[in-house]
Amino acid sequence: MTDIFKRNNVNIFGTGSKTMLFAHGFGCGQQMWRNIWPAFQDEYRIVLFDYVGSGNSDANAYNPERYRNLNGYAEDVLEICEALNLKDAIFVGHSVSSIVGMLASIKEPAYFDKLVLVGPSPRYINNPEYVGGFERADIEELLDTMDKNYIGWANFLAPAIMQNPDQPELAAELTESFCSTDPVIARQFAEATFLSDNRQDLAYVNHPCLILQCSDDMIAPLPVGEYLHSNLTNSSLVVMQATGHCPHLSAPQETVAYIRQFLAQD
Amino acid sequence: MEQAEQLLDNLPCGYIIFNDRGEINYINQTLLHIVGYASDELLGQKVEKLLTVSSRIFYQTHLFPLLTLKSEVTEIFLTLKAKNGTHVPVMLNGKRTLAGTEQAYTCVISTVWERQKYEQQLIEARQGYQQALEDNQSLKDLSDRLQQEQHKLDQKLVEVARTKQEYVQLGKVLMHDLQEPVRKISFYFERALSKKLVPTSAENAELLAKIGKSVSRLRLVADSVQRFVAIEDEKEPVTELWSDQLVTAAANDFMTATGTQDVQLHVGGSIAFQGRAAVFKTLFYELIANAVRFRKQGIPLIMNVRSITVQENVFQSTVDKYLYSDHVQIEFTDNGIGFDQRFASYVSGLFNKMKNDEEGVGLGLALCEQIVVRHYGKISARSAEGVGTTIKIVLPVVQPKPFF
Repeated sequence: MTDIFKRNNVNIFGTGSKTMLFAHGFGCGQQMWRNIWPAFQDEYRIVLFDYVGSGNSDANAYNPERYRNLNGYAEDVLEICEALNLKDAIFVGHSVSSIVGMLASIKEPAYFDKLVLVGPSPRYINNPEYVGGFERADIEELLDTMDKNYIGWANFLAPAIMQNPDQPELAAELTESFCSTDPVIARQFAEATFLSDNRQDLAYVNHPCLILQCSDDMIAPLPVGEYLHSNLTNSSLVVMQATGHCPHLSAPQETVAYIRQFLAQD
Repeated sequence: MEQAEQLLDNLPCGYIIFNDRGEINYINQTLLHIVGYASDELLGQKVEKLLTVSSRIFYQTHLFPLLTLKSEVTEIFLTLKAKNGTHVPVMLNGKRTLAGTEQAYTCVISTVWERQKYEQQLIEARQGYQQALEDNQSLKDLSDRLQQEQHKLDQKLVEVARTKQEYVQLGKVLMHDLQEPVRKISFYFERALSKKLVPTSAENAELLAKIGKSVSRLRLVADSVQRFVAIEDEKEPVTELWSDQLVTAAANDFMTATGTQDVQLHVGGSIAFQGRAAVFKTLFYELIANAVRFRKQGIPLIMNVRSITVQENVFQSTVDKYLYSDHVQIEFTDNGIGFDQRFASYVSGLFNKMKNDEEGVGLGLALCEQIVVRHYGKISARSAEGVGTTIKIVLPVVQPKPFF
């Protein structure tokens, strides 16, 4: 039996009985939530984790077959829920994790109570009847860049490795990685994310959902938030003042306030 | 101040300052020259205006988070998009500082035209080498593993085929040899009773009632076990089935056969999947029978059956193998008496049954599990005492070709 806690670098804080499970998106790991979860730690048990292949997870557990598909990431979430014996938890997912959380909630509804979706998108690529924000060529360019710019990515992705010839033992400690560290894994995660189409799954989601839509988010633009709102039967849509794709970093107070409001609703 | 700005403008590298919202507060002449914009076209605009689409994604998913989390980044490679559409490869170092009440993100940017060429060569050489190495090693590993797995699989297939045949044969013999005497006992017992061959006394009546009950229970068990064995011997071909039609048909059969009253059945979603029609009808018949047997007295029994599509891994026992394919997920929920969740895996065991179940043989769910597993699916139960039970069945939409 794999040690799920080690594999997914699960960290637990807080004193509440009800659990909030925070799931990071494509890019950086659980550190992304550091301005959000402390606001809830007095009322909730906080569970943070990194997907296999991200942050400080056990990269040896990475399986390209499994993580080629967002359902593989959903399995990480479900296995963590199972290991913690969760029931009626609040799932908070950023970006692609919103979809991962939905998939998990469809498969095992009892683990979850409500879903908070930060900058979600069920499909990134435009087609005649849907606005996702990207043309297929844009995504292909991204994947191509990730292929070509291998060293750039590798440099980019492991910025924390500092050379410290005087004290080599320090280097290891300094390599704590906030973001994706392996270019090959990051490339696959990008592909699983940006080529996904989960529009048909929306109808199966039964839990109350909060859609936190940023103003001026190029990755998940407003029409996408509206599309989700009209296709998720039990959802509320909030258009935030925060801009960009990471309101939990750029506007933590606003993000916390909306989540709090949503959790207070019955 | 003016002098400082002049110094910045003349730096031999680009220099840009933007805020939390990504709005450009300052950009020096060198960078303006690189991207071909005038200063007033960019001030107050989003920094993303200077990036290609893929660099924008990069910026949103990695660069901005990293700058915020670590306050500093170095040697980041990005592609700028000049006003005339040209792509400019650059290297960036950035820092986040508090300027007054706002966070200021300050970056220096240099073009890396030359460096990129070396890198391109390096990358190609490295990729070629890596690829060859990986291909070679993984091919070798794969062929070794395939050989081993095939051998194992072959042995398993032989074993399974033999076991199955024995099992069916054993079942048939057992059932015939068991059923025949049971039938005879039952027959002669009835006859003895009807011909009043046994003297009627109060003591006898009680005894006879007990024997009668045992005989009919024995017949029920024998019948159930025979059905269980029969499913394994089923020769019915696989066809396309519709989840909602099967449930409705099974419910009609059940109502007609038993005359059960005060039942509401709601069927939602209609998903096609491959399977053997008759056994699946049996499965839903058993689920309905179970729900009725464990219904709450005094209120209508409500059964909700919902079918949706999900993707599941087709590999169930091979570790580390993943292939996600379309599956139908059927959730069968009732408002019955439920059971303690701790017994969730116990209830589908062969001949296991709950204490409060007096009439059952303990075969219903085992039968269902057998049918589902025969179709490469999974079945699980989630229940809460006093609230109800949900049986979840997940089946592949397309059945694999049979081995034998």
